[in-house]
Amino acid sequence: MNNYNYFDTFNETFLDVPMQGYNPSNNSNFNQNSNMNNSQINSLFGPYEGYTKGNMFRNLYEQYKNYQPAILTPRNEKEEALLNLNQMQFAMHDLNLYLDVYPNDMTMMRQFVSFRNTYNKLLSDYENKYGAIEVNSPTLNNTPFGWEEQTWPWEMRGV
Amino acid sequence: MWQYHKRLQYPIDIKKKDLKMAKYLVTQYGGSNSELAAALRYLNQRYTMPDDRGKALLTDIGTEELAHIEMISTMIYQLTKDATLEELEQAGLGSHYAEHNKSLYPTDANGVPFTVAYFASTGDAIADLYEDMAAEQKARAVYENLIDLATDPDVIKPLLWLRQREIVHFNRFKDLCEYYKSKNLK
Repeated sequence: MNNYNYFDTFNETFLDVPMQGYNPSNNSNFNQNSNMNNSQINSLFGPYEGYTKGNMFRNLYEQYKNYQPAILTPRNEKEEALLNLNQMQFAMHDLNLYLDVYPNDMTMMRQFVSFRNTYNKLLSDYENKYGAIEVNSPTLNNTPFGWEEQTWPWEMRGV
Repeated sequence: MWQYHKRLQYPIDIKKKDLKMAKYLVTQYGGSNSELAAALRYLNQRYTMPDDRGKALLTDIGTEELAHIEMISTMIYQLTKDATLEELEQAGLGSHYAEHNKSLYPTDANGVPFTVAYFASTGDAIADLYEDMAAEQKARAVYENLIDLATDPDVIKPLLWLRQREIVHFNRFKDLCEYYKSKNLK
């Protein structure tokens, strides 16, 4: 067995840590913001909690032993912007997979649209400040090209 | 077609070199239950899914698996970065160095190279979806083995996350499979 005490390095109680701006800080806010009171929406985690767990759906979440999901703490504004972008894209993607199989679920569709609208705004904010995530970004206008020069994902550090 | 997003699906930041862990972890890059096998399996099977739901789900999960290949590759890259030849040899990676120097190569944990024989494609949606469900369960089990072997939280965190994705994908395939059975589609 390993000697490293993994559990002491993370908080025992997991919180849906609010990210500035777009991220609902807990599930009551989550429901208010989306102006919905449907049982399926109640079954979703908020985007930050869902992202850290790797699963937006409460009924599908399965913990492994006593391991808790990592608490992702950005060290600066850029990391925070990327975390917000990542979690919103993840929320959108997990609902995308659900909607592939249940394409007539209007409540989930509305939630998907809400995540997508937020994601699109976060993407454009991030690219304007920190450079292109996709090569069709309107921020790539001059030489040097710029796409080639940002840090590539496997070299990136932080959250 | 596909368009690249210049970011990882979930962050990887491994500060501690660990060649032994890299040697185990490579199985999720090129082993029988690897992310590479998953991506190719779903992206190959999608053409003969009997309806639009199946085509959509296999495309979208297959695409996500490509992002998981990138996460696993990044973990292996960061775990082996700055390793000396001596360290590689001590960790049993001398033969890897002989073939590939320090570049990545999809093999299982025993060094057996990836092969498409790891996945099937029958043209029967029910048979294919049962394979897909089994693949997700096997990948989950391998992630649990790897989490048991890991000691560094920077390694454990993304492994827990990837394990959870196997659970979500399993359930989506299961829902689709039940739907097809109820509609007598295959």
